[in-house]
Amino acid sequence: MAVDKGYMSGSSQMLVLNLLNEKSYYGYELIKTLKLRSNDVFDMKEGTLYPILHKLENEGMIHSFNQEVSGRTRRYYAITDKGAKVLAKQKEEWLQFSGAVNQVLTFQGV
Amino acid sequence: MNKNEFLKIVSKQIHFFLDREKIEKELSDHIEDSTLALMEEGYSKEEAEQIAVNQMGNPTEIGKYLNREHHPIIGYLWFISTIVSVVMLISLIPTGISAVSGLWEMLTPTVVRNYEEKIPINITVEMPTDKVELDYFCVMENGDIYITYRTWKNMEYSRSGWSSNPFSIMDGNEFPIASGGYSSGNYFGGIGASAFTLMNSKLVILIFRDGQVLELNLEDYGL
Repeated sequence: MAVDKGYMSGSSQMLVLNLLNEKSYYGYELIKTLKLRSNDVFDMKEGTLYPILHKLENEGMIHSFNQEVSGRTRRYYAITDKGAKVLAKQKEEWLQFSGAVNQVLTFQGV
Repeated sequence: MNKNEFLKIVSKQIHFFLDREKIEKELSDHIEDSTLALMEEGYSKEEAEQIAVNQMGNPTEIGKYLNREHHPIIGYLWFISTIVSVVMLISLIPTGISAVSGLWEMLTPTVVRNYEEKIPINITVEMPTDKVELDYFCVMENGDIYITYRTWKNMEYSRSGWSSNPFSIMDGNEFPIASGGYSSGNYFGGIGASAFTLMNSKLVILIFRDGQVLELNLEDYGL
């Protein structure tokens, strides 16, 4: 859809899934980790994370649960089996694609 | 814009009211976490909250995207479709039972009770609307003879209920000799028995609904 502005794009979904593949995160924690890991390149507007999370949850890639941590109830997200499978496939495709792009961009002479 | 104003604008975009509170809580938690972290960096509470809200992005846009994932139509459709499918399942139970019992009935060639003698016919007549299998002549004590049969509906042609007898009966003089009988219909077709009384001819002529004529000489059947 034209109004999408890219932040629902496949790559941000893949990055979110990849983090959730390690452990369960709540929203704030997830976005801080994403920022840190990407050296601030993925400095997305923080609120836009939630539509992505809710979309992934609707699609059955992740599930959410409430957990109390130091007196506050937080909404945690965890990857599902389906999500892990989709991630593995996306990752493989991405690595293949980006490898090919790099190869073309750094090509030196004949 | 402070936290509450931000949440209000987001919430306005969410049409499925049941999810609104949950979403507001999640976003509110995020802004609070962010505010606390900024205060640790040295910002005042007001400044910190202001920056935290700005980092969230455009509330209208976020609300619209969230609404897409919490759309009332999907929620209500899910609810309605569940009810509809339960109702449909329940309403299908009688049909299912009658279909199964009908099939059971159809697999057992009809036999008239209390007959003296039973002679197999085993003739099948195809009509456009259904197929008729003539099973037996059943000879009764009083001399009446029943032809028992089963009809199988052509499902491509009609799924409607079973109708009249598939054939009428005459003797060799083309005189109607049918004297009664019975029939019952079900989902697959029907079963029936037509009785006739022979006067002075051994020839039985069946005239089918579609005009086909079948002549049976009872002597061939030892009658």
